[in-house]
Amino acid sequence: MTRKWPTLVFSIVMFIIALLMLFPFLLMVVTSLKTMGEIQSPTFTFIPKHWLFDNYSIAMGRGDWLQYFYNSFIVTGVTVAFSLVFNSMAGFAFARLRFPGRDVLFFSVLIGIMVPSQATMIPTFLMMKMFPFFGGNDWQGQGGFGFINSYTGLVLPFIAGSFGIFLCRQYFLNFPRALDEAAQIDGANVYRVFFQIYLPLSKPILATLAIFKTTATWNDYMWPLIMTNTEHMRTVQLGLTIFRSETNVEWNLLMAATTLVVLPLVLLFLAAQKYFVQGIVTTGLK
Amino acid sequence: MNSVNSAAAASKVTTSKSRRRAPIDKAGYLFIAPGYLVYFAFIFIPLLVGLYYSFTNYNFYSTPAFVGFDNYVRLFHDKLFGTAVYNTFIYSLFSIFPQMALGLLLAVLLNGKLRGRLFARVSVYIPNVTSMVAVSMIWLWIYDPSLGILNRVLKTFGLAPVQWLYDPSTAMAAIIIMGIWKSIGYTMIVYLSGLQSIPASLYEAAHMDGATKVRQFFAITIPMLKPTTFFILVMSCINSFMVFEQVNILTNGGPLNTTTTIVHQIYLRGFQDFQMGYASAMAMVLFVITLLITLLNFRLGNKGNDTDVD
Amino acid sequence: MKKRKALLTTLCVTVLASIALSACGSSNATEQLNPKSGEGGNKTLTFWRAGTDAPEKAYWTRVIQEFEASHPGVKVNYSEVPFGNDMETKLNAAYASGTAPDVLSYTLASVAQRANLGQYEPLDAYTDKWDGKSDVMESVLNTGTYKGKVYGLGFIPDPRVLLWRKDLFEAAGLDPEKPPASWEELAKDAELLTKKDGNTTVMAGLAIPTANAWTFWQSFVLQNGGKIIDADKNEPLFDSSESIEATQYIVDLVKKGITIPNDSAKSNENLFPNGKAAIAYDSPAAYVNTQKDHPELAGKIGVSGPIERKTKATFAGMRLLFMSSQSKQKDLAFEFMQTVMSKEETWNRYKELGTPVVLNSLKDDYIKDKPEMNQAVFDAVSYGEGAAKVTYSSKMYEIISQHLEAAFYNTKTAEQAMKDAAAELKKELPNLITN
Repeated sequence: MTRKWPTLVFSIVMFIIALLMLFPFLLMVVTSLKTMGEIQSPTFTFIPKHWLFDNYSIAMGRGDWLQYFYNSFIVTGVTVAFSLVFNSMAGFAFARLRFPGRDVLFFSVLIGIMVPSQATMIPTFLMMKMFPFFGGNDWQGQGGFGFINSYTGLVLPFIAGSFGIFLCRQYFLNFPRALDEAAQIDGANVYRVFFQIYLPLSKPILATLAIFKTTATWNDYMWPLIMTNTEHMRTVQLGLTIFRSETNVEWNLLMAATTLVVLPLVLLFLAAQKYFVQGIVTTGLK
Repeated sequence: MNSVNSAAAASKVTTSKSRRRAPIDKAGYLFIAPGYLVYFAFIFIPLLVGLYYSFTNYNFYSTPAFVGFDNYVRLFHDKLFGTAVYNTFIYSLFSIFPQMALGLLLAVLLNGKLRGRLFARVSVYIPNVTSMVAVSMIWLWIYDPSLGILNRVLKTFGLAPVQWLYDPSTAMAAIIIMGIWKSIGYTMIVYLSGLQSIPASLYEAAHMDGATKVRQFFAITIPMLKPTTFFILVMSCINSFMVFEQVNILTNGGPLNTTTTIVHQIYLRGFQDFQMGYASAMAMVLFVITLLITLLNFRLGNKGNDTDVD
Repeated sequence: MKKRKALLTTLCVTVLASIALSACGSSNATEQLNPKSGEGGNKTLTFWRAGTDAPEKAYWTRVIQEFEASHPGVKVNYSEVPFGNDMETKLNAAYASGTAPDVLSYTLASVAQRANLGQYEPLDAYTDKWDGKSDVMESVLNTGTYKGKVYGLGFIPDPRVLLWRKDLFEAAGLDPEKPPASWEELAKDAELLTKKDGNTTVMAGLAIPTANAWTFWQSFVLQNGGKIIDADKNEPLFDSSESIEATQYIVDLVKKGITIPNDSAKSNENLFPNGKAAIAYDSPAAYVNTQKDHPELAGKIGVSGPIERKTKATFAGMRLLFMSSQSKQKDLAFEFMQTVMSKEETWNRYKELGTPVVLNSLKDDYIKDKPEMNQAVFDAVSYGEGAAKVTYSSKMYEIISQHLEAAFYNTKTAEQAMKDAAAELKKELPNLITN
């Protein structure tokens, strides 16, 4: 049983690494349970003197957090759902299908990742405002507010993206040709190949994409900032600014709210990461 | 094993035959349509608009007036922008490789059945999931010269405290360390999903041939991960070139401009000084730099079309 | 057959989804935004304020409720935006798309740029007919004036006064009731009060920001009789000998280590409220916050007006009410502004938020309420100056702060810093003055 030793050492090393990675987060949680005096005191103590779980209810009482979470859930859920479908379809096409202009089109998609959002934010905003027929606009996009301050405005520009298409394409490239050939011999057309063969085998990449897209959308601050005007439409990231004033930051409440804001993402990760199970793809070959 | 080999061999024969009359999958256009349309409308067109702005003196309000290449000429002589470009390169150089290597290592280690694997995976990923604002503020404390953890640790070892974010020689290093910490989870996850597509049969065969785990890692894992590595490399290059949020919160470009980056300059010129035309020119330059680097990656990575396809 | 089915399904789903999304989106939100007056004289006024803190939110909620009650048929849409460049971004998007708010509560630093662009509406036509105008302190009216026209009504001043820790003074053997009255005394006291741990300063004798130091620096330059810029000729004046003398004074203190490096743009690093400084130029809000977070310091903080060297001067920020030139409810907007500027509301603001008063008629009551502090604050408001009113002020102060930083880090002398900053500004000016 000499095999047990390396695994034990392994586990301990991993535990230490995990703790190091987790440390700032622990710091955040611990800060949320202190008083401001404790936080600013020159003598630093990690463990709070009194565990002020009340800070959490105080923080949540400071704004309409139920509404903020609701908005974030809707926006993130819809965006991720659409992007999973659209990105995987496009990625599949770029990776497995042959059609003229394929590589040029793919490369043009990559261009989108290389531009900072600060440069495209305002033109996109103007487009959302002048979208014809919606939000009181006439056919020329004048006169109303278009998609400003609406869920559509928050979701629409993000339901597909260069990153997702790229990720899916790379993943689908990995599949052996034998898979397509076998399917074609069975007489399946492209749609069946995608929906009935590739998609079921795509759980790892869909899980990965879901995690990334959810994180990006949930943590997005700038776009909801310029897109929303009323408290009713605020997302959780905007809600966090309540604890910051021009002269002061209420650290304990801010950290409490931040912990709650991060929690759904952690839970999602816990749920999705079980799809990283080895051997899903290969079972098809045997 | 053999059936796979013969199937692969057979498919190679059929592929070369059918290539002469390569069928066009018209469905391809349909598949890419929704994604491409959204991309085109909300990213490509604003990009073109940005390109247009870069040749004007747009200030967000008045009608932009055409100024030709003035913005670009000015960029060329802008010392601050030059510093920003240099800083961005330094940041990218020192954060990409550690983050990829560590991410790969952790993915491999956490792929097998290990006790506490879930705990470790979650811990490594949480930094990536926490918003940059929260993370930056926590690291502001960690780096605090008098109260921060780092300096306290140094003190217990009898070393002099470091000014971290206020010392021009350490500020960029401090930002890089935080950047790596935040991004390891990201590379780990992508590698984890890439690892799933490597057939277990390959490892079994190697094991039967007597290869050690380390040998397997270098002979099987790394080559089979090429598309994934390629992807991560391209994304890491692009992402690190766009570093902005942590600079904005932790150091605001200082001290002595040692941490200002290209996107930080775009933000300042555009949204603080109202010089959107100039900022757009900067964005175009950033775009060209990233494009060149991506092209370089594609050339070296053989278009990322490594395995069994076409 | 299957192909067409798949195609149709995808199309239907997409169309349905987008309709559903836009329907639920627009029905509850965009209608709120729409300021078109509907049937029966229903008017909507949009009001944005910079700042997201809770006490002020409660204040505005009350004011808006009362305004709506006294103006039947009027609905005020209230929105809060975080301070800083976030607000700038949002305002830029709003003005570019014609969706700017009717009334805006924002900073003095925005006046020159946005008035020049024509985003803020000149208010003279309204203020000339307003009898409350004569009651507003002259310095306050000046903050909202640009090139001779009134663009904003200042209503929440943010002056810098001298704060000091009486307990630390006592412990060091200084008279806790006597703050330093000259630059020399300030330097002496600050050195005495500085505490170091090896080479690191742990208690700053005087809180000097090392990054974004321009607000601090400007007070000293003005106190020494120096000037910042000639706004009409666009010529920097901060490389004069008075200004260099002031800069040298500050740089010497920093090099002696009497401050802890900090960035004035980061509110959480403010030394005095964090208990890390013995003397500071700070706002009355810092006075309140320090005692709130450290109850043991109640009554141990002194407040006085800034040191007068050659002239009385200090930095004074201001929050003003602006009207959008794109507004379709200009009369109503000014009515709202009038309400906020009324004697009643100004006093309410003092009582509820602790902000200094801006009306001459309230001066006596204000000072009587807290004589030990409010006299100093009122004076600071009357001779305080904010950011120079030029359209390129943010870039100018960025240049100055960066050269100051270089002097603090000992890569150039104070004199060189000022001269280099002036030279760089002159070089940049052609790029900055475009409209």
